[in-house]
Amino acid sequence: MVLEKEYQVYRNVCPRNCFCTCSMLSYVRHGRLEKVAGDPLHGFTRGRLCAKGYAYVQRVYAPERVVFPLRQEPRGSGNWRRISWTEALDIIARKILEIKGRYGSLWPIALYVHYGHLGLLHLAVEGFFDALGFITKIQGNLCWSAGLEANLLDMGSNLQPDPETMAKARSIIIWGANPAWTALHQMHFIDVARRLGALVVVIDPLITATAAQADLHIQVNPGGDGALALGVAKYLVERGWYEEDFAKKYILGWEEFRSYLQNELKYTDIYRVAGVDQARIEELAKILVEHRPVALWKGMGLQRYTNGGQNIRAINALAALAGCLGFSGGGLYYASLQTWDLFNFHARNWSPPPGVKGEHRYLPITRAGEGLLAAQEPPVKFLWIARANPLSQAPDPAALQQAMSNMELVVLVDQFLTSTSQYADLFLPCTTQFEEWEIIPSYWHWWVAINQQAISPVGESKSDLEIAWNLSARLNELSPGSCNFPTGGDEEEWVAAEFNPYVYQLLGIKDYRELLQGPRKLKMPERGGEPSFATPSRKYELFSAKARQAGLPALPVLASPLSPPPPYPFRLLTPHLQGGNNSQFLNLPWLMSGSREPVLRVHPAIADKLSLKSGDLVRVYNDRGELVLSVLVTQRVPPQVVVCYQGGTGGKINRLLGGVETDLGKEGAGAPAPAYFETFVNIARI
Amino acid sequence: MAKKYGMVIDLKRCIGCHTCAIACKLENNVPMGLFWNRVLTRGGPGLDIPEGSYPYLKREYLPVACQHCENAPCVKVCPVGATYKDPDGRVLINYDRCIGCRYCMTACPYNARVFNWQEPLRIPGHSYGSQGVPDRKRGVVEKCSFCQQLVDAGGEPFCVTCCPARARKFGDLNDPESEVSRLLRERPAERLLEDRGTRPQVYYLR
Repeated sequence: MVLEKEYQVYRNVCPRNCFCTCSMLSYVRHGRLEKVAGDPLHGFTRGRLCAKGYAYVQRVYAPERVVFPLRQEPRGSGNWRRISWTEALDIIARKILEIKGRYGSLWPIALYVHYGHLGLLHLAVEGFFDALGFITKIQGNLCWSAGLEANLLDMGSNLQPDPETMAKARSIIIWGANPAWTALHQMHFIDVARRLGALVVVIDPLITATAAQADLHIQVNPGGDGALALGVAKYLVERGWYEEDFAKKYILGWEEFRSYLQNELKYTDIYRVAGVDQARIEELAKILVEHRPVALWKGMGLQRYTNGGQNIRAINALAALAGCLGFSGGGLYYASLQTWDLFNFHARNWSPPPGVKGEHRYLPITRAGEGLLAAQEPPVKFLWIARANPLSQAPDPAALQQAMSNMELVVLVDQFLTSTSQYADLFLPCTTQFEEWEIIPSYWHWWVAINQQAISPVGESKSDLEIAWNLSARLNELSPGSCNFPTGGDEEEWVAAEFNPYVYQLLGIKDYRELLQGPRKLKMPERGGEPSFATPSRKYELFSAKARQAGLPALPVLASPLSPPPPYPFRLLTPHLQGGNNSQFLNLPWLMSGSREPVLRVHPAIADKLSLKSGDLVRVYNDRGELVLSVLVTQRVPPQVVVCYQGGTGGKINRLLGGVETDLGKEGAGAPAPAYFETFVNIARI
Repeated sequence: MAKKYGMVIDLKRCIGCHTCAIACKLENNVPMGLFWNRVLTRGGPGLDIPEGSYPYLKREYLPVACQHCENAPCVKVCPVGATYKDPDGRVLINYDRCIGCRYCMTACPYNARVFNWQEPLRIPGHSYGSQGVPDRKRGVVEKCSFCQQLVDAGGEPFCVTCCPARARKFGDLNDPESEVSRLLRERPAERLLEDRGTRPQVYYLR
């Protein structure tokens, strides 16, 4: 990079909930962030960011960014006024102590956190509340739970190969993912493989930007992914085109599964559920056999159904038969916590003050609103929300809004006024990654970079960690010994405390400060040699006793998604938007310039039938609610599906969600996730 | 031999991520409401619309900024010599000379130029991007300079550096050893609106 001498250059990491976890260089002059660039020393992102990444300069200094603590009186009025940190922390600390005294328990204190920031130091929020005592926790994850659990059932772990090695595959099957929008930097490794002759297959109900680049796009029915996988597995077994030695030696339930495929499963059912014909099944089967090694990437879209876990299990089964589990090139991808688990979680792991006994009360995230409203003895009176915008992103926002209205105090930590802030009493402004120290692992690639503080906090913003320190200090002033969380410290030291000798060994360094010279790649243990699985049987479990215990089929058998009920004939899909990350970034004019979001994408055949043209307004409704959206007529969506990208409606679209959950998720993330894509609506022209 | 800077954009690689559009805005301190560099979708009236009818659909993106034409109509019509062809083959603007007549905008067949109708508004409020990008005031036309501030210091345009798809290459078209010259020898390339005779120095590979 030229012109470096005119700036102070710092290393930062994008902390968003995204596959890429990009390494950034920030250029600072006069104490201001003037430019960001990708870090060329990062081997996965290789000196590049995405459009959102380059828009950070706008995000940090956006006039809408809240940089002072605010209090809203009354809640929901929009009547916010600036208060001091002293006042804000005093209100919170006194309320916590008052509730504790009134109920003799901390269960009336509830914590709602999600993954708006992936940094390990931001887990200080959890650490703080654990250091306070036993509270009510909203448990689970809104996204990947079914897939994680399906992988655990089948293979006992969520390990995956180094995504950079996807470049060496001879075929790449991208199943229900849209990396051109949501995992941008993986596209380079896919492109390298392709230029070396690999075939790229995209399986998706929508014609995505990734599908547009593919050699073959299979337009599967929404949620029919598992059916397609089983169809291909059946075809492979019938032809004898599978890894018999592997199956016999390493697969539990192989005979049962083979018998199921050959004797019970009918192609006619596969065609109906998957929406594909025999030719497509054969084409995919041949690619799996003829273009090895195969990299098979299961996206998160196909597990957002009531049969989501079964979809993943069926694809895993296909991968096991076809020999692409990843022991000999290629491999099976989803997401992984293997690099995550290496760190100390110093900020998160704190215990209550000595002598405090009990356990947390857990409410599943899919029904957080209902759960908070129904909680009794004692009821929930205080809610702390951090790294999350649930009134935009969670299912059943109406119930959550009502629950928030019933609270005595709602505290929100964020950078912008959001859908959720409308029902908060206190808004605590937090820093961006440029204003704090952090360490942010990736759930995809194997690189670790350090995030150093590049600029002073904007306004009076504080990091989640500093807020936790300050609040602990105030609590301990008012009631000595009430909170075991440290009352102060040095952020950089807390970064250091996340490292241990094993991480250092894998990174090939002796001190975290070496990362200031550039990101390092973890040398993860080789997965070559004898296949091994962390399942109870130590084999790949096509037959899973655990699944049966959970009330599901032991084998990955055909499972259909829900069918539209007659009054609501269209399936509403709400995938991720290119210009945003969930509800983040959608407020930035640089990124939203020219965007017509939110719009409802409708197939031309449906538009003709309803006499709709692009730009017309329609009522989108079901028995749960309605909203008005502008129509965009496009062939990118199939006829039975309408699409509105998530995040852009401020949560209005989530009011239509069906209230159903994924089949798996409890083992994966503490609770099943919402089956977001099992939502059915009707549309009517206004 | 004098340089002739040019760019080659591989449309087979472009995935329509708009990274170049935003990175350009950042690097060149481009104010609100204006873009020097945009990514269009070919074949349809909107960014979301593929060409053709199912299943014969095609989606292709077209990044467009100043084409740095060899026979640049904007240079010819500028009444004050503010827009000029520099010795390295770039079309540049002397912003102090520009009188805001916008003849150049009318002359440009690529819609690559934008005009400051109002006092430039920036969010953030301070200037951003690299040092050395000239100031532009209300009433002047502005556009892509192939990131002159970076190229003259030995770098490359920021859109080339940032492209996640590695679709953009930059170099001296007069140098037969340059990557752009090599690509143009090896692969069929086209230029936008060739019939206008503008002879753009931005080439597209398909």
